[in-house]
Amino acid sequence: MVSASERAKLEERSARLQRLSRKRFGVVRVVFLQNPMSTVGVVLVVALLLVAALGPLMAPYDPNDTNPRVRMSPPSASHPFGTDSYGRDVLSRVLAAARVDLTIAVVAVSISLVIGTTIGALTGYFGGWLDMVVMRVLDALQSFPQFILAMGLAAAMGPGVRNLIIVIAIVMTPGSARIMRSRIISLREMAFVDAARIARVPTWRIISAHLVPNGIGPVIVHAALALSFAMLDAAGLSFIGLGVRPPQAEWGTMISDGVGNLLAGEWWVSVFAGLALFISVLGFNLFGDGLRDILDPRMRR
Amino acid sequence: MRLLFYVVRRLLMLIPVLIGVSMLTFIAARMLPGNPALLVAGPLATDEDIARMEADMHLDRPIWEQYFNYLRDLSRGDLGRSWRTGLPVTTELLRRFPATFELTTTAMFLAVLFGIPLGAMAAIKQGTRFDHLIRVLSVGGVSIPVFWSGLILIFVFYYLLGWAPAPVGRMGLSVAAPTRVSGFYLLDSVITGNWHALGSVMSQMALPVITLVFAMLPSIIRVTRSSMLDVCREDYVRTALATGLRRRTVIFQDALRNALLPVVTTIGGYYGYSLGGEVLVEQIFSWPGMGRYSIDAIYNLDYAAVQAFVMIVAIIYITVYLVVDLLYAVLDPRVRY
Repeated sequence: MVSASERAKLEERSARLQRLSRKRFGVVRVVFLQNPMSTVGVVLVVALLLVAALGPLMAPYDPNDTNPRVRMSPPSASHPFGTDSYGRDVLSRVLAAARVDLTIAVVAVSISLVIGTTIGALTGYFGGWLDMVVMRVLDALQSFPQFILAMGLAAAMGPGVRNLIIVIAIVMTPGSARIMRSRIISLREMAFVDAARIARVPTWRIISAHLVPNGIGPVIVHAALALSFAMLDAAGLSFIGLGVRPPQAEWGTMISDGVGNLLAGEWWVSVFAGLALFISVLGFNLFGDGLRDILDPRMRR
Repeated sequence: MRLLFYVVRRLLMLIPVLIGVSMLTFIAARMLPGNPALLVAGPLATDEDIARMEADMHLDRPIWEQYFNYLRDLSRGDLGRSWRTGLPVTTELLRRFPATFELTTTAMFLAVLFGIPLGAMAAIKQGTRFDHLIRVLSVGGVSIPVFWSGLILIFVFYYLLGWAPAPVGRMGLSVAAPTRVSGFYLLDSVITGNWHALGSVMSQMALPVITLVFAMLPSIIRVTRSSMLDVCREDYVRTALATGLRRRTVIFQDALRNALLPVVTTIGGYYGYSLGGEVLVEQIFSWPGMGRYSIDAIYNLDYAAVQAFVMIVAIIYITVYLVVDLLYAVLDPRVRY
């Protein structure tokens, strides 16, 4: 439902993209060219990785060094993001927190990916009572809104980085398990699987070498988007005191530290920490959307 | 008749889910750090006191017996006592339910009101500047942490501009709450004709509602847009257009109506999901709802209250899903049950 001139423009563009798609890494190039937002996503994710790796080197101060003489000083040349109520440099803390938040998200999502893929592949391939039981457990896990479940588990396990990772991994697992399961169920009926069976390929190899690699695409897309949710959950739990414990620098904890100051007009602690969190989550969301266009062509539009 | 069978089957399917949920909360409750009897008895209790407490709370029984006791209490609506206040947690949570319900529902209503037209417009104008703008805004929207956007709104509209009242809860500090009829302040102040209170309620609600609306909008826009795009490709839409019907008629009467079905399911899901964001928003705005109560409980190590809250939210979530599913079956003649 577009006008004639718009349609001509679109057709010309799609012809150009089709020519491009025949070159090497064609799809990847097309997607990122067609959608500059994905490119922004890649840039943001790379920047976040760099900050996480090099943050401590880039930081002008030690993130935990207190300096009573410069408490709550607004952004200035010596403290670009200002200082907090202990006189710690906010910029250094924001940089140091990148590593903490990224590690939590990446480790938790990786764990959920490995466990979820395994569960999904086994239940999808074998079906039967195993499938029944496991699926009911996943149903139960998904009967809670994600953040609320994480909150309940974190309250039971206590705060700390390790527990935070476990909690987020548990919350994220059902999603990837379900996606893998449905992919395996449709793949296992295909001719190449029968061929492998006839050739006496052992079952575990059929699953691990033939089915899982074929079904992993949508799971990877899910994982990229899950990273953004994992970051939000980690920061949200830390914000209410169930995650990373002070004095360790973490964005959610920093936002919560700055709440009292915000109402006194001292905005910089909460604002910069939140901005860093927002930009990182945005990066993963844009990156995940681009990845979906590449790996899951059915969703492309 | 077949619908009735479907409803019954759908209810029966809930049983394993509820058993699973209850087992999960039970296990989580037993994982708690420290001895619950010790917490209840207090720091001055002797060993005898604690042993008596353990017997009182049936903590000395085998674990399966404890689970069945838990189920029995659960079926009576007994979710344990808060050791902080000594009151049954169910009572405490129910008292705070209207505050949470009012906030979430108002936000959801507004998000649907704006989200569906925006999503549909984006689909109709697919590929235009408007569509791109909507997509950029919605991906930005899902990336903003609610507990941060709420704070920014408070900073800008309360501290800097002074347009919004202080974030002190459901009523301004100098205004009396409306006479309790339903517990929903908006409704109560209208019923009792208390316009002074209504004004205060609305101005207190403005910022938290805006925060939640922005959190909910992106998902609603996304689903509406993609569902609308699917429907616009259907043959019957093309046929309708080919017969010379006006575009506007086709879009609003044929396409949108069918596109809304998947949107309904998603909205149901997000209603439950938004209860999670709600917790953080309540905390920021000192909103005296269930979420804030549960966070207070966390700070005070009042774990029975936290578990109860998680359980109640799960029940609300499941119920909403069930209702949406049934609604879907009623609305869509193609669904076979």
